[in-house]
Amino acid sequence: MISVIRIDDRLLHGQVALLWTQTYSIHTVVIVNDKVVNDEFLKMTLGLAKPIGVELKIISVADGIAYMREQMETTRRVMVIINNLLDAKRIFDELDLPSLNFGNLRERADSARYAPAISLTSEDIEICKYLLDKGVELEIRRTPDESKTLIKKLLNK
Amino acid sequence: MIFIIATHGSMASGTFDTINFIIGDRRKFFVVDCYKPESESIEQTITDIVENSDEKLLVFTDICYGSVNREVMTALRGKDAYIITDFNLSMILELALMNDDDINEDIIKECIENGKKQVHFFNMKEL
Repeated sequence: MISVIRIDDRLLHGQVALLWTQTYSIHTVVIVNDKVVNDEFLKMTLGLAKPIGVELKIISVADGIAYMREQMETTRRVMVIINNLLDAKRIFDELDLPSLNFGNLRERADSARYAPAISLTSEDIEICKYLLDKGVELEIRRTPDESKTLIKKLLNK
Repeated sequence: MIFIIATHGSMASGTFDTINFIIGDRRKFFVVDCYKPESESIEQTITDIVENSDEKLLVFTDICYGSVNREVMTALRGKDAYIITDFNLSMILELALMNDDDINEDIIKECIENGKKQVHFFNMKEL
């Protein structure tokens, strides 16, 4: 099963490795990203963040979608991490998943801050609206014990 | 040799403050307190330091599996730099007190081992 899909521009880091994998008893963390999958150096540095006892996979978006489709039918608890909303759109267009967690999206050119760790560009907002219309819950939580801040409310939708 | 401390939050500037307290300001440090609201991007900060110097870098990061360390590694890929992750104060102090000419890969590794040996556990009820 897909226990969590998280969008975090830092991908896998201590906060995720320590807190999320424990809270959700995650077996496998999957980093889904087309850039990282072709970069051995980035893969090595992400491997440093792998929690003990948890499997780490780094795969492309296309492979990620196939992998998730397969894992949705199993009892293994999978956490998926992506780092941008375009990839989120590709995934949610293919798979029927209920919720997307927002962890960290730093400021970029043309972005505005919606929460302490979440900045969105106008393109991001369009994708958020699109996902909300599909009925996907978009919730901000940096750590799993925080209460959810809903993007829907921030966008007054 | 340029010394840099990079951490999540204010541990870097706090560590620098403690180092100054103990050994005075005999060595210059760059401190990078990351992910605070006013923080610049790590990559930019590190790149600026690299571009404005031809000295070797010695970077201390707070935790190996954190994103600060990863971003530092990414910014320093292929550069003339050493990184020590999960530093402790004794490691930094030992290295900070050395002359640049004496600091090399073997010495750094020795200082890391010495620093590890300074981590002790006491159960005070049993003493």
